[in-house]
Amino acid sequence: MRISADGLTVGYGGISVVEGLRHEFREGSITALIGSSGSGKSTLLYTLALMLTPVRGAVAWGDDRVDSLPDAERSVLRARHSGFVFQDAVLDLAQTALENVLEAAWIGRMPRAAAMSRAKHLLEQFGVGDQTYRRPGQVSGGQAQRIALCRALIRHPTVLFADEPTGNLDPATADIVWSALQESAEAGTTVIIATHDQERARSFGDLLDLGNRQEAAV
Amino acid sequence: MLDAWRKLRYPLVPSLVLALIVAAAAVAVFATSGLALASQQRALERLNSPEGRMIVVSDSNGNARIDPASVAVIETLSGVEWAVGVGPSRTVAAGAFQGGPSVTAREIFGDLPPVVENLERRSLLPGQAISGPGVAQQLGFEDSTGHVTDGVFAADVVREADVAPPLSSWNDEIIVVSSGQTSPVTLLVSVTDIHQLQPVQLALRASIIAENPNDLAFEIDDGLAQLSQDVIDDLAASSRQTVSALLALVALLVAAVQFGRVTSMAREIGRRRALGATRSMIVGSVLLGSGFAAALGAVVGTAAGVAITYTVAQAVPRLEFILSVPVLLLLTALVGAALPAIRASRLDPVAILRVP
Repeated sequence: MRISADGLTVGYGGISVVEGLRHEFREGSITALIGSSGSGKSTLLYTLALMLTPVRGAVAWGDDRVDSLPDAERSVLRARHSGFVFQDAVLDLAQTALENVLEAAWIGRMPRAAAMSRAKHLLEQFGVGDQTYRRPGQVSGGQAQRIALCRALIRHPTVLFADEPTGNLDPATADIVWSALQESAEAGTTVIIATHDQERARSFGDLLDLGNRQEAAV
Repeated sequence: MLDAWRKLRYPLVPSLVLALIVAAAAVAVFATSGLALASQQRALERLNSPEGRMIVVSDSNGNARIDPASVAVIETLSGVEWAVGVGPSRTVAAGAFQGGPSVTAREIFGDLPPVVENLERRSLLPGQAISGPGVAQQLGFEDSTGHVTDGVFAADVVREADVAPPLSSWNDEIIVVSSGQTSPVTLLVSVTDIHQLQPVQLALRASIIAENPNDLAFEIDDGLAQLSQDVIDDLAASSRQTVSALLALVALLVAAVQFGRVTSMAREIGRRRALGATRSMIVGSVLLGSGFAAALGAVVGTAAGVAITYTVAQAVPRLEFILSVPVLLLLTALVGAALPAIRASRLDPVAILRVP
């Protein structure tokens, strides 16, 4: 699904950090939002993911403007069409890896049997199948992030947001995550990542530098 | 439902605390209002004694001349348990032993009242009589049967019978089913409940057939009815105040527990919102979690409360009261959880999840 920002001004806590952004995030591509700390990468990401409302301008998912929809409709869009990978996995410590992955399916009203099958398949695919019934406190940081990636992908999202998904990972695990994001993009998902890791971002997709706002395609 | 509960991942400790609050409130309700209601019921049962439910209509100066047919009319009135007419008392002795021991005899009009135990209401024929326990022996009857007379009036005693209150004075007398030669001088009317005393008395004034009804005197113990109403009103007012205070306290405590729970679960709530949970889903999950715990506490507390009430007062409140307590507590817990639930739904997922 194509994501568009049209004259988008975003901010947080009353401060605008991105002014008048006009950009199209292409379907089936990875776009990395880069820039120094405070440049507005995460704020823009959360705005595109409909968790923040823009100060000005519009966000469109496909052909539909979605930023002005009521909260309930934006939530349903998030639940059914998007996935989100947070910087520190944000798993429920009381649930097993499988239950953490299934939580997104439950919220997105995915059929139970299909969700169960897909969750186990993803956990195997990302090399954490042997952690299925372990809780986050019993797995490593890299494994937790891969579980979080499974959670983001379980609903076959058409758009995938990731906020510094490899910020806390070792290089080998970071490569696994980037490869997974690339595979999702190749399968048609629009992937938007806020990252400091410019080297990997450059090798995997497009860059949108919020520091000097020059778009660069690699 | 259990699956939904499992998905809610409702923390155990706040759930138990909430259930405990509701259970304690249920016990408190029964320990105060429940006991009061049980006491009220016992007091009412005492006030509602057979003597208290009696209306005595007298033709005291003999001018009213009550028609015996009045008894049948009175028994059809709403609120009347039974009615019987009573003739003037006579002093009789055993027919074979004139000059021997004498006892009081009375004619009755209408069927035997049900307080005459172990005897069918219409089992005696006119002119037949029953004697109280020992009366037949006093008169020298060998097998509790015999003939009594005062020289003019005569009757055949056919058996002994025990008479329960409010007519237990009949146990010392001979009660004769009237053969219709005389008229009752007194009507004894038992009502079903002391609150029927006033309405039945009014109905009696319109129903008794008599030559001079204005000469009839009515006696009721309406002080008992008033006392009974006062007891009900006082206890009801006291119970309402106590229960209202308890419910307010429960709502506050539940709100406090749930605010704490929402604060401690902010990250989980933020994660769910980020994953697409709507505000109504968050409100629903908080209310559902509260409802589960409150329902558990209400049921356990009500069971304990009923047991305690029964142990202390040897009585339990009415079923309506018992059933209303858990329902009321559940609703109160949901009201208490409403504000925390709304607050949970308003949490900003970005503020919670964003790493600085």
